[in-house]
Amino acid sequence: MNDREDAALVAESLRGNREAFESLVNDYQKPVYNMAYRLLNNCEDARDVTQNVFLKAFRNLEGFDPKYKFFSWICRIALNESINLRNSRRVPRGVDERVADGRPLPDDLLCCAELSSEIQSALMSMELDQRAVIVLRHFHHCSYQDIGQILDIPEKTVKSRLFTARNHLREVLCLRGVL
Amino acid sequence: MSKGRPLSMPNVNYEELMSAEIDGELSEEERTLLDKHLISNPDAQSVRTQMTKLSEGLDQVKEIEPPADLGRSIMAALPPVPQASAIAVRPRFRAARLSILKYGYVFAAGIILGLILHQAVTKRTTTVDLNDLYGSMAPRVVGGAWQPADGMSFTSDSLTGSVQLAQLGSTVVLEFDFDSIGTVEISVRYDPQLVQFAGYNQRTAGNLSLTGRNGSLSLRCEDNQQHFLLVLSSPQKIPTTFNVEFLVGGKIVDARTLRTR
Repeated sequence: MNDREDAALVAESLRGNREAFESLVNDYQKPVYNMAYRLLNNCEDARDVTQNVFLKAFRNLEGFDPKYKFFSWICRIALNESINLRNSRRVPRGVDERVADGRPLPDDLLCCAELSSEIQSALMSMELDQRAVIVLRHFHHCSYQDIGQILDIPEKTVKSRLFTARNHLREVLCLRGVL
Repeated sequence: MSKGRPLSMPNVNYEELMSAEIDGELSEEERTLLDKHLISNPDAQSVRTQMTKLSEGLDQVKEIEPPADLGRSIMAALPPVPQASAIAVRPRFRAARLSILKYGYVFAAGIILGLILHQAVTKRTTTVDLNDLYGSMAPRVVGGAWQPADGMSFTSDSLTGSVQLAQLGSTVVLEFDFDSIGTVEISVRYDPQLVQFAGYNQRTAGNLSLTGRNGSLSLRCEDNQQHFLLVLSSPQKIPTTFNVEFLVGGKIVDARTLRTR
Protein backbone atom coordinates (compact mmCIF):
# COMPACT_ATOMS: atom_id res chain seq x y z
CA MET A 1 0.00 0.00 0.00
CA ASN A 2 2.10 2.83 -1.35
CA ASP A 3 0.73 6.38 -1.43
CA ARG A 4 1.85 7.03 -4.98
CA GLU A 5 0.40 3.75 -6.20
CA ASP A 6 -2.85 4.53 -4.43
CA ALA A 7 -3.05 7.94 -6.09
CA ALA A 8 -2.45 6.29 -9.47
CA LEU A 9 -5.17 3.72 -8.76
CA VAL A 10 -7.60 6.50 -7.85
CA ALA A 11 -6.76 8.32 -11.08
CA GLU A 12 -7.30 5.12 -13.05
CA SER A 13 -10.59 4.49 -11.27
CA LEU A 14 -11.75 7.97 -12.21
CA ARG A 15 -11.01 7.10 -15.84
CA GLY A 16 -13.47 4.23 -15.49
CA ASN A 17 -11.03 1.42 -14.74
CA ARG A 18 -12.95 -0.75 -12.30
CA GLU A 19 -10.01 -3.10 -11.81
CA ALA A 20 -8.03 -0.19 -10.38
CA PHE A 21 -10.72 0.44 -7.81
CA GLU A 22 -10.92 -3.27 -7.12
CA SER A 23 -7.21 -3.16 -6.22
CA LEU A 24 -7.97 -0.44 -3.68
CA VAL A 25 -10.83 -2.52 -2.31
CA ASN A 26 -8.56 -5.54 -2.03
CA ASP A 27 -5.85 -3.53 -0.30
CA TYR A 28 -8.04 -1.67 2.17
CA GLN A 29 -11.11 -3.79 2.89
CA LYS A 30 -9.36 -5.58 5.73
CA PRO A 31 -8.16 -2.48 7.63
CA VAL A 32 -11.49 -0.75 7.09
CA TYR A 33 -13.41 -3.83 8.25
CA ASN A 34 -11.17 -4.17 11.30
CA MET A 35 -11.51 -0.50 12.15
CA ALA A 36 -15.30 -0.70 11.94
CA TYR A 37 -15.34 -3.89 13.97
CA ARG A 38 -13.17 -2.41 16.71
CA LEU A 39 -15.38 0.67 16.83
CA LEU A 40 -18.74 -1.13 16.68
CA ASN A 41 -17.97 -4.58 18.09
CA ASN A 42 -20.23 -6.31 15.61
CA CYS A 43 -19.20 -8.26 12.50
CA GLU A 44 -22.41 -7.57 10.58
CA ASP A 45 -22.15 -3.86 11.27
CA ALA A 46 -18.48 -3.90 10.29
CA ARG A 47 -19.45 -5.52 7.00
CA ASP A 48 -22.15 -2.94 6.32
CA VAL A 49 -19.84 -0.08 7.17
CA THR A 50 -17.08 -1.44 4.95
CA GLN A 51 -19.47 -1.82 2.05
CA ASN A 52 -20.83 1.70 2.50
CA VAL A 53 -17.34 3.15 2.90
CA PHE A 54 -16.21 1.87 -0.48
CA LEU A 55 -19.47 2.86 -2.12
CA LYS A 56 -19.10 6.41 -0.80
CA ALA A 57 -15.42 6.49 -1.67
CA PHE A 58 -16.22 5.41 -5.23
CA ARG A 59 -18.96 7.99 -5.57
CA ASN A 60 -16.72 10.75 -4.23
CA LEU A 61 -13.37 9.77 -5.72
CA GLU A 62 -12.99 13.20 -7.30
CA GLY A 63 -12.99 14.62 -3.80
CA PHE A 64 -9.85 12.65 -2.85
CA ASP A 65 -6.83 14.93 -2.54
CA PRO A 66 -3.69 12.95 -3.52
CA LYS A 67 -1.55 15.04 -1.20
CA TYR A 68 -3.13 13.04 1.63
CA LYS A 69 -2.93 9.29 2.14
CA PHE A 70 -5.77 7.28 0.63
CA PHE A 71 -5.82 5.26 3.84
CA SER A 72 -6.37 8.40 5.93
CA TRP A 73 -9.17 9.50 3.61
CA ILE A 74 -10.94 6.17 3.68
CA CYS A 75 -10.44 5.84 7.45
CA ARG A 76 -12.21 9.14 7.91
CA ILE A 77 -15.15 7.90 5.85
CA ALA A 78 -15.13 4.69 7.90
CA LEU A 79 -15.17 6.62 11.14
CA ASN A 80 -18.09 8.77 10.01
CA GLU A 81 -19.99 5.72 8.77
CA SER A 82 -19.38 3.95 12.07
CA ILE A 83 -20.64 6.97 14.01
CA ASN A 84 -23.72 7.19 11.79
CA LEU A 85 -24.47 3.51 12.22
CA ARG A 86 -23.91 3.62 15.95
CA ASN A 87 -26.23 6.63 16.23
CA SER A 88 -28.89 5.00 14.06
CA ARG A 89 -28.90 1.91 16.28
CA ARG A 90 -29.30 4.18 19.31
CA VAL A 91 -27.16 2.06 21.59
CA PRO A 92 -26.50 4.25 24.61
CA ARG A 93 -23.04 5.76 24.50
CA GLY A 94 -20.48 4.31 26.81
CA VAL A 95 -22.34 1.06 27.25
CA ASP A 96 -20.52 -2.20 26.74
CA GLU A 97 -22.31 -3.42 23.63
CA ARG A 98 -21.52 -7.02 24.49
CA VAL A 99 -23.95 -6.57 27.32
CA ALA A 100 -26.24 -4.31 25.31
CA ASP A 101 -26.95 -6.71 22.48
CA GLY A 102 -26.71 -9.87 24.58
CA ARG A 103 -24.41 -11.55 22.09
CA PRO A 104 -20.93 -12.89 22.75
CA LEU A 105 -18.01 -11.14 21.19
CA PRO A 106 -16.71 -12.73 18.03
CA ASP A 107 -13.34 -12.75 19.75
CA ASP A 108 -14.86 -15.06 22.33
CA LEU A 109 -16.26 -17.27 19.64
CA LEU A 110 -12.97 -17.45 17.86
CA CYS A 111 -11.20 -18.31 21.10
CA CYS A 112 -8.73 -15.47 20.72
CA ALA A 113 -6.52 -14.52 23.63
CA GLU A 114 -8.46 -13.57 26.73
CA LEU A 115 -6.61 -10.27 26.86
CA SER A 116 -7.77 -9.39 23.34
CA SER A 117 -11.32 -10.08 24.34
CA GLU A 118 -11.00 -8.05 27.53
CA ILE A 119 -9.41 -5.21 25.62
CA GLN A 120 -12.23 -5.17 23.08
CA SER A 121 -14.77 -5.21 25.87
CA ALA A 122 -12.96 -2.37 27.65
CA LEU A 123 -12.77 -0.44 24.39
CA MET A 124 -16.54 -0.60 24.15
CA SER A 125 -16.83 1.09 27.53
CA MET A 126 -15.18 4.20 26.12
CA GLU A 127 -16.55 7.13 24.19
CA LEU A 128 -16.18 6.58 20.46
CA ASP A 129 -13.73 9.46 19.96
CA GLN A 130 -11.38 7.90 22.52
CA ARG A 131 -11.90 4.45 21.06
CA ALA A 132 -10.95 5.82 17.66
CA VAL A 133 -7.53 7.10 18.74
CA ILE A 134 -6.66 3.76 20.32
CA VAL A 135 -7.80 1.84 17.26
CA LEU A 136 -5.89 4.08 14.87
CA ARG A 137 -2.72 4.17 16.96
CA HIS A 138 -2.45 0.57 18.11
CA PHE A 139 -4.29 -1.45 15.49
CA HIS A 140 -3.45 0.62 12.42
CA HIS A 141 -0.15 2.07 13.61
CA CYS A 142 -1.06 5.58 12.50
CA SER A 143 1.22 8.47 13.40
CA TYR A 144 -0.06 11.40 15.43
CA GLN A 145 -0.14 13.37 12.20
CA ASP A 146 -2.24 10.73 10.43
CA ILE A 147 -4.62 10.45 13.36
CA GLY A 148 -4.94 14.24 13.43
CA GLN A 149 -5.85 14.26 9.74
CA ILE A 150 -8.35 11.44 10.06
CA LEU A 151 -10.08 12.89 13.10
CA ASP A 152 -9.55 16.50 12.07
CA ILE A 153 -7.94 17.44 15.36
CA PRO A 154 -4.52 18.96 16.20
CA GLU A 155 -1.66 16.59 17.03
CA LYS A 156 -1.59 17.98 20.55
CA THR A 157 -5.19 16.84 21.00
CA VAL A 158 -4.28 13.42 19.58
CA LYS A 159 -1.63 13.10 22.26
CA SER A 160 -3.87 14.15 25.13
CA ARG A 161 -6.76 12.03 23.86
CA LEU A 162 -4.48 9.00 23.66
CA PHE A 163 -3.39 9.62 27.23
CA THR A 164 -7.01 9.89 28.44
CA ALA A 165 -8.03 6.80 26.50
CA ARG A 166 -5.12 4.69 27.71
CA ASN A 167 -5.67 5.78 31.26
CA HIS A 168 -9.32 4.79 31.01
CA LEU A 169 -8.42 1.43 29.50
CA ARG A 170 -5.80 0.85 32.16
CA GLU A 171 -8.24 1.61 34.96
CA VAL A 172 -10.97 -0.60 33.49
CA LEU A 173 -8.59 -3.50 32.91
CA CYS A 174 -7.12 -3.10 36.41
CA LEU A 175 -10.61 -3.20 37.92
CA ARG A 176 -11.29 -6.40 36.00
CA GLY A 177 -8.06 -7.87 37.25
CA VAL A 178 -6.56 -8.14 33.79
CA LEU A 179 -3.58 -5.86 34.36
CA MET B 1 5.38 16.24 24.58
CA SER B 2 6.94 19.29 23.00
CA LYS B 3 10.57 18.42 22.59
CA GLY B 4 12.96 20.89 24.17
CA ARG B 5 10.24 22.75 26.11
CA PRO B 6 11.29 23.33 29.72
CA LEU B 7 8.99 21.67 32.21
CA SER B 8 8.44 22.92 35.70
CA MET B 9 8.03 20.06 38.15
CA PRO B 10 4.63 20.96 39.63
CA ASN B 11 2.99 20.99 36.20
CA VAL B 12 4.23 17.63 35.05
CA ASN B 13 1.61 14.96 34.48
CA TYR B 14 3.74 11.86 34.79
CA GLU B 15 1.04 9.52 33.53
CA GLU B 16 0.82 11.61 30.38
CA LEU B 17 4.59 11.25 30.05
CA MET B 18 4.15 7.46 30.35
CA SER B 19 1.60 7.56 27.55
CA ALA B 20 3.97 9.62 25.41
CA GLU B 21 6.74 7.15 26.24
CA ILE B 22 4.70 4.34 24.69
CA ASP B 23 4.56 6.33 21.47
CA GLY B 24 8.27 7.19 21.57
CA GLU B 25 7.39 10.86 21.92
CA LEU B 26 9.43 11.75 24.98
CA SER B 27 12.12 14.41 24.81
CA GLU B 28 15.38 13.77 26.65
CA GLU B 29 14.36 16.24 29.30
CA GLU B 30 11.01 14.52 29.78
CA ARG B 31 12.73 11.14 29.90
CA THR B 32 15.00 12.39 32.68
CA LEU B 33 12.04 13.80 34.61
CA LEU B 34 10.08 10.58 34.30
CA ASP B 35 13.01 8.39 35.30
CA LYS B 36 13.67 10.50 38.39
CA HIS B 37 10.02 10.35 39.34
CA LEU B 38 9.89 6.58 38.92
CA ILE B 39 12.94 5.95 41.10
CA SER B 40 11.32 7.58 44.10
CA ASN B 41 7.73 6.49 43.51
CA PRO B 42 6.60 2.83 43.65
CA ASP B 43 3.01 3.74 42.73
CA ALA B 44 4.23 5.42 39.58
CA GLN B 45 6.31 2.33 38.79
CA SER B 46 3.18 0.25 39.10
CA VAL B 47 1.23 2.55 36.77
CA ARG B 48 4.05 2.47 34.26
CA THR B 49 4.12 -1.33 34.36
CA GLN B 50 0.37 -1.39 33.75
CA MET B 51 0.72 1.09 30.87
CA THR B 52 3.43 -1.04 29.30
CA LYS B 53 1.34 -4.20 29.69
CA LEU B 54 -1.65 -2.43 28.22
CA SER B 55 0.37 -1.29 25.24
CA GLU B 56 1.72 -4.80 24.69
CA GLY B 57 -1.78 -6.21 25.03
CA LEU B 58 -3.13 -3.75 22.48
CA ASP B 59 -0.36 -4.66 20.09
CA GLN B 60 -1.21 -8.35 20.48
CA VAL B 61 -4.84 -7.93 19.42
CA LYS B 62 -5.18 -9.90 16.23
CA GLU B 63 -6.68 -8.62 13.01
CA ILE B 64 -9.98 -10.13 12.00
CA GLU B 65 -10.43 -11.56 8.54
CA PRO B 66 -13.32 -9.90 6.71
CA PRO B 67 -15.92 -12.20 5.13
CA ALA B 68 -14.53 -13.92 2.05
CA ASP B 69 -17.20 -12.48 -0.23
CA LEU B 70 -16.89 -8.89 0.99
CA GLY B 71 -14.74 -7.64 -1.88
CA ARG B 72 -17.03 -9.20 -4.49
CA SER B 73 -20.04 -7.83 -2.73
CA ILE B 74 -18.54 -4.33 -2.66
CA MET B 75 -17.71 -4.43 -6.36
CA ALA B 76 -21.17 -5.75 -7.23
CA ALA B 77 -22.81 -2.85 -5.41
CA LEU B 78 -20.80 -0.11 -7.13
CA PRO B 79 -22.43 2.12 -9.72
CA PRO B 80 -21.11 1.82 -13.28
CA VAL B 81 -18.89 4.89 -13.02
CA PRO B 82 -17.33 6.75 -10.11
CA GLN B 83 -18.65 10.15 -9.08
CA ALA B 84 -22.27 9.39 -9.93
CA SER B 85 -23.03 13.06 -10.14
CA ALA B 86 -26.41 14.49 -10.85
CA ILE B 87 -25.30 15.23 -14.41
CA ALA B 88 -24.49 11.59 -15.02
CA VAL B 89 -27.61 10.32 -13.37
CA ARG B 90 -30.21 12.60 -14.84
CA PRO B 91 -30.27 11.21 -18.37
CA ARG B 92 -31.02 7.79 -16.93
CA PHE B 93 -33.93 9.22 -15.01
CA ARG B 94 -35.19 10.96 -18.13
CA ALA B 95 -35.08 7.64 -19.93
CA ALA B 96 -36.81 6.09 -16.99
CA ARG B 97 -39.71 8.47 -17.22
CA LEU B 98 -40.09 7.55 -20.87
CA SER B 99 -40.01 3.88 -20.08
CA ILE B 100 -42.69 4.32 -17.49
CA LEU B 101 -44.86 6.10 -20.03
CA LYS B 102 -44.86 2.86 -22.01
CA TYR B 103 -46.83 1.46 -19.12
CA GLY B 104 -48.95 4.59 -19.00
CA TYR B 105 -52.25 2.80 -18.98
CA VAL B 106 -51.30 0.79 -15.92
CA PHE B 107 -49.79 3.81 -14.25
CA ALA B 108 -52.76 6.06 -14.99
CA ALA B 109 -55.21 3.43 -13.80
CA GLY B 110 -53.18 3.09 -10.67
CA ILE B 111 -53.16 6.80 -10.03
CA ILE B 112 -56.94 7.09 -10.54
CA LEU B 113 -57.61 4.14 -8.29
CA GLY B 114 -55.07 5.50 -5.89
CA LEU B 115 -56.76 8.87 -5.72
CA ILE B 116 -60.13 7.24 -5.10
CA LEU B 117 -58.89 4.76 -2.57
CA HIS B 118 -56.56 7.21 -0.91
CA GLN B 119 -59.58 8.99 0.52
CA ALA B 120 -60.47 5.83 2.37
CA VAL B 121 -57.04 5.40 3.83
CA THR B 122 -56.84 7.15 7.16
CA LYS B 123 -53.72 5.57 8.50
CA ARG B 124 -50.59 4.36 6.80
CA THR B 125 -49.72 0.81 7.54
CA THR B 126 -46.44 -1.03 7.27
CA THR B 127 -48.29 -4.27 6.65
CA VAL B 128 -47.15 -5.39 3.25
CA ASP B 129 -49.97 -6.15 0.88
CA LEU B 130 -49.14 -6.46 -2.77
CA ASN B 131 -52.69 -7.08 -3.83
CA ASP B 132 -54.07 -3.57 -3.72
CA LEU B 133 -53.95 -1.50 -6.87
CA TYR B 134 -52.30 1.81 -6.23
CA GLY B 135 -50.36 2.02 -9.46
CA SER B 136 -49.26 -1.52 -9.04
CA MET B 137 -46.95 -3.39 -11.40
CA ALA B 138 -46.15 -5.94 -8.74
CA PRO B 139 -46.95 -9.62 -9.00
CA ARG B 140 -49.97 -10.82 -7.12
CA VAL B 141 -49.07 -12.51 -3.85
CA VAL B 142 -51.80 -14.34 -2.01
CA GLY B 143 -51.80 -14.90 1.73
CA GLY B 144 -48.79 -15.43 3.92
CA ALA B 145 -47.28 -13.50 6.79
CA TRP B 146 -44.56 -11.07 5.87
CA GLN B 147 -41.51 -11.22 8.05
CA PRO B 148 -39.84 -7.90 8.82
CA ALA B 149 -36.13 -8.31 8.18
CA ASP B 150 -34.48 -4.92 8.49
CA GLY B 151 -35.22 -1.24 8.26
CA MET B 152 -33.91 2.28 8.38
CA SER B 153 -35.39 5.58 9.41
CA PHE B 154 -34.10 9.04 8.69
CA THR B 155 -34.81 12.56 9.79
CA SER B 156 -33.10 15.52 8.21
CA ASP B 157 -34.04 18.99 7.02
CA SER B 158 -34.85 17.67 3.56
CA LEU B 159 -36.02 14.12 4.18
CA THR B 160 -38.01 12.29 6.85
CA GLY B 161 -39.33 8.76 6.76
CA SER B 162 -38.37 5.14 6.72
CA VAL B 163 -37.61 2.09 4.61
CA GLN B 164 -38.69 -1.35 5.77
CA LEU B 165 -37.39 -4.62 4.37
CA ALA B 166 -39.74 -7.60 4.64
CA GLN B 167 -39.73 -11.05 3.11
CA LEU B 168 -42.10 -13.87 2.40
CA GLY B 169 -40.62 -17.02 0.92
CA SER B 170 -38.59 -15.96 -2.08
CA THR B 171 -40.27 -12.54 -2.35
CA VAL B 172 -38.58 -9.53 -0.79
CA VAL B 173 -40.20 -6.13 -0.41
CA LEU B 174 -38.66 -2.75 0.27
CA GLU B 175 -41.32 -0.39 1.56
CA PHE B 176 -40.48 3.30 1.22
CA ASP B 177 -42.49 5.83 3.16
CA PHE B 178 -41.17 9.37 3.40
CA ASP B 179 -41.77 13.08 3.10
CA SER B 180 -39.27 15.30 1.39
CA ILE B 181 -38.57 18.85 0.41
CA GLY B 182 -37.73 18.82 -3.27
CA THR B 183 -36.88 16.00 -5.61
CA VAL B 184 -35.40 12.85 -4.12
CA GLU B 185 -33.31 10.34 -6.03
CA ILE B 186 -33.01 6.85 -4.63
CA SER B 187 -30.55 4.17 -5.59
CA VAL B 188 -31.02 0.54 -4.59
CA ARG B 189 -28.24 -1.93 -5.33
CA TYR B 190 -28.13 -5.65 -4.78
CA ASP B 191 -26.36 -8.76 -5.95
CA PRO B 192 -27.94 -9.58 -9.33
CA GLN B 193 -26.92 -13.20 -8.94
CA LEU B 194 -29.20 -13.49 -5.94
CA VAL B 195 -31.97 -10.97 -6.53
CA GLN B 196 -34.16 -9.90 -9.45
CA PHE B 197 -36.53 -6.98 -9.68
CA ALA B 198 -40.16 -8.13 -9.84
CA GLY B 199 -42.26 -4.96 -9.75
CA TYR B 200 -43.35 -1.94 -7.79
CA ASN B 201 -46.48 -0.88 -5.99
CA GLN B 202 -47.44 2.71 -5.30
CA ARG B 203 -49.42 3.25 -2.13
CA THR B 204 -50.03 6.93 -2.80
CA ALA B 205 -50.47 8.70 -6.11
CA GLY B 206 -47.16 10.41 -6.71
CA ASN B 207 -44.81 11.27 -9.52
CA LEU B 208 -42.37 8.40 -9.34
CA SER B 209 -40.02 7.34 -12.12
CA LEU B 210 -38.10 4.13 -12.03
CA THR B 211 -35.33 2.58 -14.05
CA GLY B 212 -33.42 -0.59 -13.51
CA ARG B 213 -30.48 -2.56 -14.68
CA ASN B 214 -28.90 -5.75 -13.49
CA GLY B 215 -28.43 -5.36 -9.76
CA SER B 216 -29.45 -1.74 -9.61
CA LEU B 217 -32.64 0.31 -9.40
CA SER B 218 -32.84 4.08 -9.61
CA LEU B 219 -35.88 6.08 -8.64
CA ARG B 220 -36.78 9.72 -8.87
CA CYS B 221 -39.55 11.07 -6.66
CA GLU B 222 -40.84 14.52 -7.49
CA ASP B 223 -43.59 14.84 -4.92
CA ASN B 224 -43.22 15.65 -1.29
CA GLN B 225 -44.92 12.54 -0.03
CA GLN B 226 -44.09 9.05 -1.23
CA HIS B 227 -45.22 5.65 -0.13
CA PHE B 228 -44.37 2.76 -2.41
CA LEU B 229 -43.01 -0.77 -2.46
CA LEU B 230 -40.28 -2.31 -4.54
CA VAL B 231 -40.85 -6.00 -5.03
CA LEU B 232 -37.90 -8.29 -5.64
CA SER B 233 -37.43 -11.96 -6.02
CA SER B 234 -34.73 -13.93 -4.24
CA PRO B 235 -35.21 -17.48 -5.53
CA GLN B 236 -32.27 -18.96 -3.65
CA LYS B 237 -33.67 -17.64 -0.34
CA ILE B 238 -30.23 -16.97 1.08
CA PRO B 239 -29.43 -13.85 3.12
CA THR B 240 -28.46 -10.93 0.95
CA THR B 241 -28.02 -7.18 1.20
CA PHE B 242 -29.58 -4.08 -0.36
CA ASN B 243 -27.64 -0.84 -0.47
CA VAL B 244 -30.09 2.03 -0.31
CA GLU B 245 -29.02 5.62 -0.96
CA PHE B 246 -31.07 8.79 -0.84
CA LEU B 247 -29.84 11.81 -2.77
CA VAL B 248 -31.25 15.31 -2.57
CA GLY B 249 -29.81 17.91 -4.93
CA GLY B 250 -27.36 15.31 -6.20
CA LYS B 251 -25.84 14.80 -2.74
CA ILE B 252 -26.17 11.70 -0.61
CA VAL B 253 -28.24 12.47 2.48
CA ASP B 254 -28.54 8.91 3.75
CA ALA B 255 -27.10 5.54 2.79
CA ARG B 256 -27.61 2.22 4.52
CA THR B 257 -27.27 -1.47 3.90
CA LEU B 258 -30.38 -3.53 4.62
CA ARG B 259 -30.16 -7.27 5.03
CA THR B 260 -32.56 -10.14 4.55
CA ARG B 261 -32.61 -13.07 6.94
